[in-house]
Amino acid sequence: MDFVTKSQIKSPWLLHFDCGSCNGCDIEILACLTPLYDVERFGIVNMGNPKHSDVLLVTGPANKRNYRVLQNLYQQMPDPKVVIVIGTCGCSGGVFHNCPNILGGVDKVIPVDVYVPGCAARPEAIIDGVVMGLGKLAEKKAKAKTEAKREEQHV
Amino acid sequence: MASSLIAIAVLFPFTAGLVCLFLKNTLLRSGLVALSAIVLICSSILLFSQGNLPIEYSPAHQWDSVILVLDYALLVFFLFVGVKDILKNGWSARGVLTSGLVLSQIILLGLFEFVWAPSVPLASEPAFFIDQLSIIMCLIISIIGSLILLYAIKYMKDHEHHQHLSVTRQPRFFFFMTILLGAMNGIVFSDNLLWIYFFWEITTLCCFALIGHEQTKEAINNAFRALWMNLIGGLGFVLAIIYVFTNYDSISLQALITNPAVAMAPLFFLFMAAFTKSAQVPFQGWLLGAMVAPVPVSALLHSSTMVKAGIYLSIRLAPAITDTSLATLIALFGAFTFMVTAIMAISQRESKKVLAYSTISNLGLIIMCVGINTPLAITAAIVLTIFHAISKALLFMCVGVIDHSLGSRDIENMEGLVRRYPLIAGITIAGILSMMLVPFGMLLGKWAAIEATSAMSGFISPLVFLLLIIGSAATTVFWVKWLGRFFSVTPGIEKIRFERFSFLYHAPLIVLLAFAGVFSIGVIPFYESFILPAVTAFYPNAIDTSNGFFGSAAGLFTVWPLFILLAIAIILVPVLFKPKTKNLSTAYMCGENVSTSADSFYSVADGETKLKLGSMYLDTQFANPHLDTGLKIAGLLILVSMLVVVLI
Amino acid sequence: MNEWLLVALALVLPPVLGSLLRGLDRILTARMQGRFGPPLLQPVYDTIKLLAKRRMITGRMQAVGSIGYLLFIMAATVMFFLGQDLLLIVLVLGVADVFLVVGAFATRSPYSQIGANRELLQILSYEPILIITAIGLYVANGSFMISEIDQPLLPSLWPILLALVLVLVILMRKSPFDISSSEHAHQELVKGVFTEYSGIHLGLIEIAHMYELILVLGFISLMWLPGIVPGVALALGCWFLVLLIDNITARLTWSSMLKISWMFGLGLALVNLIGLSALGGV
Repeated sequence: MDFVTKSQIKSPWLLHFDCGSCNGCDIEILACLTPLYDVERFGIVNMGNPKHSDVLLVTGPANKRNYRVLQNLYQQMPDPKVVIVIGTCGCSGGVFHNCPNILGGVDKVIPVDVYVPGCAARPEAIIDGVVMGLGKLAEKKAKAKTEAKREEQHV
Repeated sequence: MASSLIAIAVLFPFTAGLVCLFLKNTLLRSGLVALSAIVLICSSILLFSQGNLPIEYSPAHQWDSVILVLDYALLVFFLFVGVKDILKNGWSARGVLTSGLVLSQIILLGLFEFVWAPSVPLASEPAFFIDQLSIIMCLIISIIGSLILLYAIKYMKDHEHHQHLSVTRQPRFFFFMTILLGAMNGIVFSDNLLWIYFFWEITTLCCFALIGHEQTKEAINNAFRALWMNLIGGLGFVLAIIYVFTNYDSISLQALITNPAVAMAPLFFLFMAAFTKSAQVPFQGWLLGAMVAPVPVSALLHSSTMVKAGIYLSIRLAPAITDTSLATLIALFGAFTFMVTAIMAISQRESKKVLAYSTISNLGLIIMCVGINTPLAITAAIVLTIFHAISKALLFMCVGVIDHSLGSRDIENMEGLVRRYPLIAGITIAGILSMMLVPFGMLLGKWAAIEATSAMSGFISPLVFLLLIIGSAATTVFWVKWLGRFFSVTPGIEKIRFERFSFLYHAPLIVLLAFAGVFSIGVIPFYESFILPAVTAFYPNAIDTSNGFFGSAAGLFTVWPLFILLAIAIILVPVLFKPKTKNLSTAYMCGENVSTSADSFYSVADGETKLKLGSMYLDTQFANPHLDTGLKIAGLLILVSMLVVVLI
Repeated sequence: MNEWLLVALALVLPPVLGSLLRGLDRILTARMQGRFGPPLLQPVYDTIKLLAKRRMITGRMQAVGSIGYLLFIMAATVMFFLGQDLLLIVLVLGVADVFLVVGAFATRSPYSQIGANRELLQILSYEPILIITAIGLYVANGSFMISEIDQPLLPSLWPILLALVLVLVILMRKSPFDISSSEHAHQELVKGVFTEYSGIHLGLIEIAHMYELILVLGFISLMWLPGIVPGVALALGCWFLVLLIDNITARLTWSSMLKISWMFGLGLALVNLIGLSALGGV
C-alpha cells in the first residue's frame, strides 16, 4: 500500500447527514466522538462540509423531501469518497418502510458502500463500519488504478 | 529657455482656459484641451530635463501689478458670492462665514499693501524659485493633470448625454479645469508669498466653481463649504505674509525657510492653509462633500493635484520646523487624521466616498511624515506624494468609467465586475493593488513612514504609534473589502470577453497604471535620479541602495524578490491554471442548491430564492454621527494646542 | 551561515516542525479532554490525503488565492530565517492574508463571504499588534533587522510578548478568537473562510498554516535571541499556553475580539513603549 493510500485511510474526514432519522443513530454517532469511544484516534474528524469530507455518514431513510439535498451533498464531495449508512432506516427504510413520502433505503438515491444496521446502531458497530468503509476505499483505489492501466493499454 | 518654459507652464493653461470659456464648438474646444494637455506634458518634461537647478527667475515688474489687481478682483468676487448668498438665503452659516472671511482678508491685505508695507515686493527677491521638489510637483500636475483632462473630454460628453442637458456647461468646466493646472504650476514655482497666495486663491475659486458644477442644491451647499474652509487657509496666508514682512523684511518663502531664527507663528498660519487645503480633520467635510462633482473634478482637484498643494507647502516648510514642538503636534495631527479617516472609510458604500476618505487618510500620513521631520520621513513623504497622486487619479477615473458602464457607484453593485466588464475591472483591481499591496511604491512609502515614526521620542510618541498602526490595519480592511467585491462571481467557467476599448477612457488609465508599475519596480533608479535631489536640498540621504535593495539605517525593503513572487501569484497562476468544467463544483449552500441555477437555493416552501450577498460596513460602530462630531472636536483641539504652542 | 542554506532551511524545516507541532497540538488537546488523540503524524496524513483528492474548484481565483497565500507566507518565513526587516515581514504576512481573503470572496457562497469578512476583522485586530512589535523591536534594539538582535529582548519587551500570545491565539485559529474559521468541529459558519476550498488547494492552505505557525512562534522566540534553545522553549511555552486557553474558553463575538485585542493587546504594547522611553531605551 503506497503512502498516499495509507494517508487516505488514516485521515477520513466525515460529513454527517441526517436524512430523516429519529436522531437515535445521530446521537450514537456523536457518542463516538466522546472520550469513551474517541474516533479521533483514527484521524476521524467531523467536518460538516462536503468539500472537505471523504466519508458521508447518512442516517434515516431517503424521503421525497431530502433526496435532492442528499444527492447535492454527495456530488459536492470530491473523489475518492465512501458512503456509510447508519441504522436500519437507512439500510432499508426500517420502521418507516412503505410509508408515504419514503423512497426506501439511502441506496435508492446514492451508491452506498457500507451498511451498518441497528436501531439504534451501537457506537462499536459504527466504528467497525467506518473502518470497513476505509478498507473499501483502498479497494476502490486499486480497482480504479487497474482500470486506468487497462484503458491505457487499449488506447 | 527655462523662463519661456516657466511662462508656458503657468500662462498657457490660463489663456487656453479663457479661450475654452468662449469657444462654443465642441470639437474645437476638445482639440484645444487636448493641445493644452500635450503642451503641458512637453513643457514639464523639458523643464525637468534641462537640469540646472535651482532656477531663480523674476518676470517683468508689471506682473506684480497684474497679480495685485487680479488678487483683489478675486477677493471681491468671493465677497460678492457671499453677500449674494446672504441676500438670497438669509443669514445662514455659509454666507456669513464666507463673507466674513473674505472681508477680513480684503481688509488685512489692503492695510498691508497700501498702509503698512507699500514697498512690497522687494526687488532683490526673485518671484520664482524652482528646485527638484518644484519639478516633481510640476511633473505630477502636468502629466497626471493632462491625462485627466484628456479623460474628461470623453467623460463630460457622456455625462451630459446621460443628464440630457440642453445647454452644455463644458466651456465653463474646462475653463476652470485648465486654469487650475496653471495655478498649481504657479504655486509650486513661486517663491514670492503674495504670488503663492494669489495662485492659492485661484485654486480655491476653481474648487468652488467645479464642486458647484451640477448646480443642484446639494452641490452649491458643498461648494460653499469648500469655499469658506479654504478661505480660512487664505486668511492664514495673509496673516503669515503680514507677520513675515513686518518681522523679517522679506516675503520670500525660501528666506523664511532658511532663516535659522524663524518664529513659529507665521509657519503655523501657513500650515493652517495647508491643512485646510488638504482637508485634514476637522476640515474633511469639504472634500467629502466635493464628491458630488463630476469624476474628473474629483480626480484632478481632490486627489492628485489641488490637495497636493497643501502637501507641497508642508514639505517645503519642513526644514523650518525641525526639532520643534510644533513639528511634534503636526505629527500627532497627521496621524490622527490618518487613523480616523481610515476607520470611517470602512463604513462607506459609495466608492467615491471610500476614495475620498482614503485620500484624506494618505494626506494625513504625509503630514505626519512632515511632522516627524527626519530625513527618512521626508523621503517617505515625497515617495507617498508621487505614488498616491498616480494611483488615486487612476482609481477615481476608473470609478468614473465604471459609473458610466454600470450606472452606479455603489460598491455592492460592482459585485462580479470581472465577468461583466473585465477590462475596467482589471485596471481598477490593479489600481487598488498598487495602493495597498507590498511591494508597490505606496507601501514602500508607508513602510518608510512607520520606520521613520519609530524614531520619534517624547511623551506624545506612543499616541502617534497607536494612531499609525490602527490606521494601517484599517486601510487594509477597506481596500480588501472593495477588492473582493470585484471577484465575487458564481461558480462557473466563462471565456473572458473584454468590453470595447475606448481610447480616451482606457488609455489614460493604462498609462497611469504603467507609471505606477514601472516606478514601483524600478523604484531604486527612480529614487536615485528623481527623489533624492529633492530630499538632499535640505536633508542628508537616508537611503542606502548599494546592494540593490531599498535600505534605511534600521531596515531593508527588498523590492525585486517580492515583485517576482507577486508576478508568479497574480500573472503566472491564472494563465497556467486552466480549470475544466468537469472539475467545477457549485457553492456550498447546505445542499439546497437549485440544479438549474448556480446562485439560487431552495428556501421556505421549496421556493427558489436568489442568493444575495453583501459586504460588511460596521455602521453601528464606525458611522456614528456623535463619533464624527467628537472626532472633529478632537482635531480642533490639536490645532488649538498648536496655536498655543506657537504663541507662547 | 550561508544564505542559501538558510533559505533551504526556511523552506524545508517549517512543514516538518509545523506538522509535528500540529500533531502534538491535537494529542495534547485530546488528553486535556480526557481522550486519546490521533497519532503524531496525523497532520501529514491529512495533508497528503488532501493533495491526492480529485480536483474540485469553483473558479480560477481559488487557485490564485491558495497559491498566493502559500507563496507569500513562505516568503515571510524565508525573510525571517534570513534575519531581515521585521516590519517588512509583518507587511508581507498581510499580503498573504489578502490573497486568502480575496480567494474566499471570489466565490459567491454565503459561508465563504461571511468568513472572508470575519477574516478582515481578524486582520484589523492582530495586525496593529504585530506592527507595534516591530516598532518595539526598534525602540529596544535600535534596528528593525532581526539579524541585529544581539541580546535577549524579554526583559524590555515582556508586555509585548503577552500581546503576541493574543496574536498567536488569533493566528492559530483557536478559541476564544477563532472568528473566521476554526481548527475543527466548530461549525456555525461551516469552515468560514476555507469553506469553498477543497482537495489540492486546501492541502496547500494546510501547508501554509504550518509555515504560519512556525513564523509566529518565531516572532515569539525573538524575545530570547541569540540563544536558540531558550527562544524555542519560550515559543513552545506560549504555544502550550494557547492550547490551554483554547480548551478553557468558548468562542467570543468579533466585537469582543476587536475590543480585547485593541484594549488589552495594544494597551500592553503601549505601556511597554512608554516604559522603555521613560527608562531610557536605546
